[in-house]
Amino acid sequence: MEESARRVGHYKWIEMRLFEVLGGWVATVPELDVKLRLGTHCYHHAWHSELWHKRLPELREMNPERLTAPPNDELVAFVDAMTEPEGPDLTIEKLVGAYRVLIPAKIAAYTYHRNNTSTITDAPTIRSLDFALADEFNDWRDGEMMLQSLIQSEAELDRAIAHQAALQKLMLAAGGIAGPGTIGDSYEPTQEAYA
Amino acid sequence: MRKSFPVEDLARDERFVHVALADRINDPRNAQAADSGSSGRRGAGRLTPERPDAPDAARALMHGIFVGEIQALEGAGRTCWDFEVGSGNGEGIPEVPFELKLDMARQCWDEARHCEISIKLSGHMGTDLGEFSENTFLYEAACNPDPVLRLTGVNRALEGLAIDVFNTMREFGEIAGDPVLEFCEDWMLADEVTHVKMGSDWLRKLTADDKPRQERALEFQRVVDKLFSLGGFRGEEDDSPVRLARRFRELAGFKDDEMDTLAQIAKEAREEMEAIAEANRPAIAH
Amino acid sequence: MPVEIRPETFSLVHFDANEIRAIVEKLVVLIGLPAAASVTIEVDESTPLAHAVVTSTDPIVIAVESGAFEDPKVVRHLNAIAATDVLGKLLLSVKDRLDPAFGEAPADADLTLPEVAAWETYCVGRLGRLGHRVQRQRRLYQFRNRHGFTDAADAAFDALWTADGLTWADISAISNQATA
Repeated sequence: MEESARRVGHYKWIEMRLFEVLGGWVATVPELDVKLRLGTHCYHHAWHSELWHKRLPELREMNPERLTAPPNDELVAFVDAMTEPEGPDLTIEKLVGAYRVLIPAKIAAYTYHRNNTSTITDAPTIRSLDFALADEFNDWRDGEMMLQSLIQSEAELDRAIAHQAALQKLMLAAGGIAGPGTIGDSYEPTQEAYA
Repeated sequence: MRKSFPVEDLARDERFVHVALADRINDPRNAQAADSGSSGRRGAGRLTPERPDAPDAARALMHGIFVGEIQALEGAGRTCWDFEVGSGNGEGIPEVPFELKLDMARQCWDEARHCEISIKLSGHMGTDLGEFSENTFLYEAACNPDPVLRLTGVNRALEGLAIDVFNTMREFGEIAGDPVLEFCEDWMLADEVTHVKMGSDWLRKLTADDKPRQERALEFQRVVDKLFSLGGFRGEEDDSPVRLARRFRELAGFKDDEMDTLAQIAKEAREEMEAIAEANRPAIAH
Repeated sequence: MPVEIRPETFSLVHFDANEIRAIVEKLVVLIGLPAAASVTIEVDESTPLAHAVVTSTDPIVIAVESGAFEDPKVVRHLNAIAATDVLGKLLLSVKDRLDPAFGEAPADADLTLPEVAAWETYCVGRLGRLGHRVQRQRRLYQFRNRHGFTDAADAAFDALWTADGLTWADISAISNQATA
């Protein structure tokens, strides 16, 4: 239960950072279709943060703020870098950060959690993960379509790739949105291996 | 990205052109338009389908609402970003409760949907996006550094104006037999009532123990209300094109005395516009 | 073709009389008004409103409030597309009135709102075919406001929008049928 609560606290923290920056970016992007999608997705992630906020007391954390925290400084550095682009000519960078790096990382983390927690005792968390994942997949698809419509030249493609690589390195250092072990460790010897 | 994003940096594609509100107000031709004896904007009376210019007047008004929706989306989004989560009562610290941010995120979604509705309506009414100039006063109100003033100015004053406009346009669509306009306005009106109520609720919650801050917020609302009464465009006079929607404002948390005050503010705005017109009259005589 | 713009110099708006004159001269030729027709455009620059009317057909006199020619994006500046739209529509209605085959239409002041919308549809449709950029959906919206948001109204709009050589009786009949 403690592990689930710890992860849920990290989820709330990253969902807050994401909905805040999507909201902040709305005024900075000139492309009308992107502006409207960011506004819509802002609410999705705010709602996820509310789901996790409400789940924390059910996981025996009566002060949700205590666990609303990043897993490590590396994820803070990632968020700082992801939220840095502001100029009207940086829509590609903004979308790459949210839709090619963070949201795929969230999908991985939520999916791992969903597949590895108890379907009976932790069913409420699974239900929230399913709701969140449905949004994440839809938003990822929207974001990828917006990016593909914006990337029209090799220079723009290079920009997208370079920014993604820089952010991906920061996410790698963080170990995922819940820190090292976000999606487990495939190479960790299992108990059966020693049996 | 900076905290607080200045209005002059607001990002738009090439279709949109910003015109300063001052340019409109200081247009020397307003003297004639404000003259109630002429065929001026107010003289044309309430915006109903019977007005000869009604279809084009409705198109221009709805485009103004469309760009207002974009700015409302941007303003709500900035409130998600600009403030840290906290008690909301910190002295000099821009903090807001977590739940306020959730409300603003919800408003982002609503305003994004309103933009999409407005785009469809523009197609229905034959208006090109960006066909008319945009003034950015709504977003300017959303730049207030105090979150309470921001919500009071935007959610209570400007979203309140949206209630009045949507109610007028809903009736316009009903009388004209335009099912598309009536349907869209009815749904957007419901959302605006929710947004105004958010503003009313947060104003009361966050200033319950801080009467000076509450008074500053209400004064800011009065300033915004007067400016957006647009020289009598919105009011309770017989020839006000857009009238106060008292029933829906009540649902949104407005008390009778607040609506009476608003009607008085609109009247004052009209008188001030007439005074400006009178001052400009020598230029026209010339 | 004598074309007069009043005033010749504007003080409250940033309009250029020569630019308006050029638009009128081009339209007179395009529309096929008599080469000797005298056209006067009286611009009331003291108001931002957008009313425009034909006050005389011989000589041709059109009275316009400055808002009708104004760029909707730039306060007090002329917009050539808007000016062409307004003047083209009115000059086509003048051409109709000067054509004996068109028949006797009521005076402008006596036209009903549906009749105004129907005749404007007929004029703007032709203006579009002469090469001017027109807003079909905007005109359809105006027509629907006066004739109803119905399939019958839309069919009537199409009939007017695509037509040439209509008489006043034709326009009036199409309008009446749409609202019946």
